[in-house]
Amino acid sequence: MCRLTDKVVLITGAGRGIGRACALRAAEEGADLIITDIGNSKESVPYKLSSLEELQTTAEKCKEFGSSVIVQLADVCKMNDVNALVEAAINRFGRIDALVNNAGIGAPAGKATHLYTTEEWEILLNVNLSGPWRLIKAVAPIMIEQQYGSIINIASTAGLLGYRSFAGYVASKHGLVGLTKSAALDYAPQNIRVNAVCPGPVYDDERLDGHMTKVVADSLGIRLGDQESIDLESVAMNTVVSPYDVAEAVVWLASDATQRVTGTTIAVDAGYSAK
Amino acid sequence: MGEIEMIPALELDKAAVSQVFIRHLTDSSLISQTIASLQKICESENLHNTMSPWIEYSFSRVNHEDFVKRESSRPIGYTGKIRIVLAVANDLEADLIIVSNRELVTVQEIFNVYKSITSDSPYILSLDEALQKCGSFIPPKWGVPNWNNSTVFSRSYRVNLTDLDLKEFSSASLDRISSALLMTLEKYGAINTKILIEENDMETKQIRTGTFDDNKHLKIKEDIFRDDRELNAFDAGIMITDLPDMNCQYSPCLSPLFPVTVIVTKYNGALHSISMSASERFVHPTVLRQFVDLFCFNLENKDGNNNFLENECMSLLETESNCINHTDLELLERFHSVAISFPDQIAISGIDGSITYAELNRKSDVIAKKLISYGMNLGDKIIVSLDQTVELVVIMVAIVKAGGTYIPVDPNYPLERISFVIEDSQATHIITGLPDLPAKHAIHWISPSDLIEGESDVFDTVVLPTTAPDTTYIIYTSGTSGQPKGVMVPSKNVVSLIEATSQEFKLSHIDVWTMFHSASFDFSVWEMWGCLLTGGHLVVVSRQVARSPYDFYDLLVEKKVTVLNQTPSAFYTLLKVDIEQRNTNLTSIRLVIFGGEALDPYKLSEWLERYPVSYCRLVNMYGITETTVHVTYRNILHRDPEFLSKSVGVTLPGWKISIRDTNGIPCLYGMEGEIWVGGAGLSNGYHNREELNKKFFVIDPKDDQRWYRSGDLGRKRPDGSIDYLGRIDTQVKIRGFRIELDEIRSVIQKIPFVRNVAIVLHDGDDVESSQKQIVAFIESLEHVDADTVRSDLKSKIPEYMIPARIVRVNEIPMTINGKVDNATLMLKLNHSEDQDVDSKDNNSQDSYLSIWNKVLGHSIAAGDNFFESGGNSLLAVELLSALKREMDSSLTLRDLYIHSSPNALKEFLSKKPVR
Repeated sequence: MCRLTDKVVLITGAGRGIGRACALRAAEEGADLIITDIGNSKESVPYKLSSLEELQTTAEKCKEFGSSVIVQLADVCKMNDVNALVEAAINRFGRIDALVNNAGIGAPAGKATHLYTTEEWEILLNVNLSGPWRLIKAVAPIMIEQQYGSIINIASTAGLLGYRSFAGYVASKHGLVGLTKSAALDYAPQNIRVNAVCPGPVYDDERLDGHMTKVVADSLGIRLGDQESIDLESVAMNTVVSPYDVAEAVVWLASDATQRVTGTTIAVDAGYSAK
Repeated sequence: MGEIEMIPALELDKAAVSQVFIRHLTDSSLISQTIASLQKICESENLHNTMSPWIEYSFSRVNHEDFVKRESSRPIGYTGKIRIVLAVANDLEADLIIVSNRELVTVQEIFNVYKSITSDSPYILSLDEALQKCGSFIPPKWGVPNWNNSTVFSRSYRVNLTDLDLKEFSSASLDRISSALLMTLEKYGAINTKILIEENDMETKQIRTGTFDDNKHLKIKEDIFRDDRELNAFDAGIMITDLPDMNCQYSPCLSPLFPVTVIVTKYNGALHSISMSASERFVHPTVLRQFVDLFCFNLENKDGNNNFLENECMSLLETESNCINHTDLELLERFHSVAISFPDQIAISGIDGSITYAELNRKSDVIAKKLISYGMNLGDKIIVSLDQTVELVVIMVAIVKAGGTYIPVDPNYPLERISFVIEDSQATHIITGLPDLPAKHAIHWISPSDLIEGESDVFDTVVLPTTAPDTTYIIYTSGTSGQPKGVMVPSKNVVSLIEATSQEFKLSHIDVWTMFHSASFDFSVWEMWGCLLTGGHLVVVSRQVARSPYDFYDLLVEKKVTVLNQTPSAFYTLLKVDIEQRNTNLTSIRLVIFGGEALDPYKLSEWLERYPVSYCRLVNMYGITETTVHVTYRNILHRDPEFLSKSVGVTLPGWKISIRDTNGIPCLYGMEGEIWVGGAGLSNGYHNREELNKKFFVIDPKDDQRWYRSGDLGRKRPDGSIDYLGRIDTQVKIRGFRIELDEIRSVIQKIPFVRNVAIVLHDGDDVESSQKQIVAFIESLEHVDADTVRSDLKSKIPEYMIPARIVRVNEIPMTINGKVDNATLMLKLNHSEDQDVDSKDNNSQDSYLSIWNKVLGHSIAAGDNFFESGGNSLLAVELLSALKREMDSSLTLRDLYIHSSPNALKEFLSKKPVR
């Protein structure tokens, strides 16, 4: 496997879940990595975010594939953090071939649109939509210089459809799909592709410390098992999505196999959004 | 000499500016020391601003080796810092890899960093030291790129010279390497080549340049470069680094800094390795491979390299494998089978009517029999001097059927030229309607009407020969100098030409061709036989229509022509007419073939927009009368990469091209040389010109094959396609410098007040080369100050290309063929008072009439018709653009055709409403 040999990939939210799966698959394909996560919790986010230890676990697993990995904490809501992250990547590797905007939060949620507080609304948009924009703002100048690059935004089926009680999340992910399309047009002349991947219901893989399904279940006030049953019923293929399914699409988009793919949204949702 | 390998870094990585130093560490205390130093750098804000240290631990030995390999080929990228990576395998083994941008940090600086890290001595920042950009990224004129502009990716390739006996090289090795490199570059046609030599050791850096003097002696000197432009002028660079011990490695650049980059490594003064690399942007990997072989040969054998070419390049000699052989009968056989297959199909039409294939077959039989009854014998030569009519084509077919050789001569040629052909060809008969040929010639005169009209059945007893003549036709070519000479072409060549093209171009009975060109121009041989041997409909274009692009355009639409053959100049004119139309009317044309002169593909963009290649195929063909019309073909596509602009494509099946140097030895791929043509199209040579035949139609003793030396310059690409690089005889050498006069011309032409310019090489009164001078004749309405022009040129072209004399003239005189009249220009030079006369004349001359005179190349009266005074459609376009510039920008070509005398047009313009 060497689809990403000599490529440098920056992944946000790589402490666990889909982000970790992307890092592992990229490492396995020969990429060198800069991985980041927030490393502590955030006010107005009602669940525990990834720790430095979790991020380091990702790094250790990646190194087993022979990758060089930079581990650096960054809050995607802080431009300074983002700039420092990109600078470290350039000092170490000289370039960035792919950016995977994976960091995102699934809650606060579970309430009707008007019941969100201003803080809740803002944190969702800030992390899920403005976060990827900050990364693009810092990385695009490098990619323009390189006349090469692939930006992959991890959106959601919530970027394609509405979900009751998830207005903030849905709005932010729809916004991210829009950002993807506009940025694709902006950077096409510089040979930079921008695409979105929209995962459907992803199960919580324990080996990846994933727990987004639990976040959704908690938001709705139901048990994890019930949420899993609901997810299973809602997909066409009668099987939920693994984080590695998503990582597979990410690796493909980061690779040179997709040199003419830009501005697209790829649903990895076992047919959820086809209905 | 070592295998060619791809350099891992892509050029877009800034790999060329990345220099890498590697030190292998095998001492645990040294490793600990280094780790401590790197930690110190992290802690020091000052040092951390300039250096970026990283420590990486490997899991296994294999992992470590992979890591070091990957890290040492990782370009510095977009950081300004020095990247320091310590790759630790275990307590006893580590590698220190220091990478930096060579435009920001010198190699000596890197050595200093290395020394301070490994010895715990304090590091002194001194990054403000004067640095010089070194590298040349301007595509050289030689070399063959293999890179399409549409991608940003390009690869570089490297060959390590492993077989060289490096011990043999003494301290004089630099001279030898430089000489060998210059010799190799010159073989590839690099003009006035100059190489950069950079030498580094731990403490010092030295940059010098290497050139050959007139006697091919190496000159190495220290140059101070004033600007980047000078640095870009290098064809190659030699980067020499002297390292203290074998634990150190250094790469001055990760991808080539020059079109050809030679990297030399020494240890304590002793040569250790040489490698050569090149980017595919400039040099194709196959060309690089051969370049390296020739370089090695030159390096090992100081005197001459012909032996190498002779011994090593014979494998490049073309084989006869795809040669098609035909018996002489096949032309007629093929014609008969077409006539039988499509008896009722129109074969030929023109201003004098049309005939079917059955009629053509019958009529040409009758005429052939008449000719024999008139006393024509097998192999006799018959001059045909008739207007472009159906009759002309029928008669030419009949002559072949009668076993004769036809010699087409345009009836519009001057009588002296026609007389010359009669004398030179020793023709027995002339078929012409010309009334006033001098009676002195001992030749049978046949009137075309005698042949066409009258009883036909009285000749039934005459038996037509069963064998076709040795020579089907003789066409007289002018060449660049000297008298016209008759090229004898056998019938099998014509058949081979049609065989070679009919499948590729899908020629068939549903095609409609024009015979646009005069029968005396061999492009028409292709038009006529190409059509008649594939069953198409041949539309013979009268001279009157051919010279009027509007009428010709209408004819193409009316006859639904599908196959159009044009010289590029004529086509550009036709294109202008098409653009004037609202609709794209030429949709029936499916194939356009260019021939006769060099094509500028960029001028076709408007055509391609109107008629995409999926509907109408455009094919550029390179050809020579001596090798039967065509030799190569190339499809013109919408977006051909820049480097294909000179390509004429690949040879037709059966034809062969070999590129030879001045000694007749085959050139390597990418080397510039003379185009030799062999194979199926080779003619029987010039009629009665034994000396010329010996000179131009040669037998290669190596393979016993016959070749025609074209006098054209070309090179062969590794894919077998040919680049056409102009005529050999337009190249000039002054003071040892090879100069393209055209290059000087194009630079001067861009000066705003210059209307036209001619560059002439003045041989002086004797033939000593030191007496040669370049003279520029500038046509301008303003005063021309020679010093101003010279100072302007100094910034654009090298000193040796600047004309010694700059003369303003009122008008650049033209010969009747539309070429610059050098003889008249030189007269102006020798009688310098002419220049004054010219400037006085300028004021008194009627500037309006002078535009007409200038285009025509001679004076006409205000009432004279342009087209009756030597004007043609090409000149009309030229006149139109001059008149548009000077008189009225709304003037159209049609106006010029309707009001075709200076007076008539002036009157038209005066009545025209002002917009």
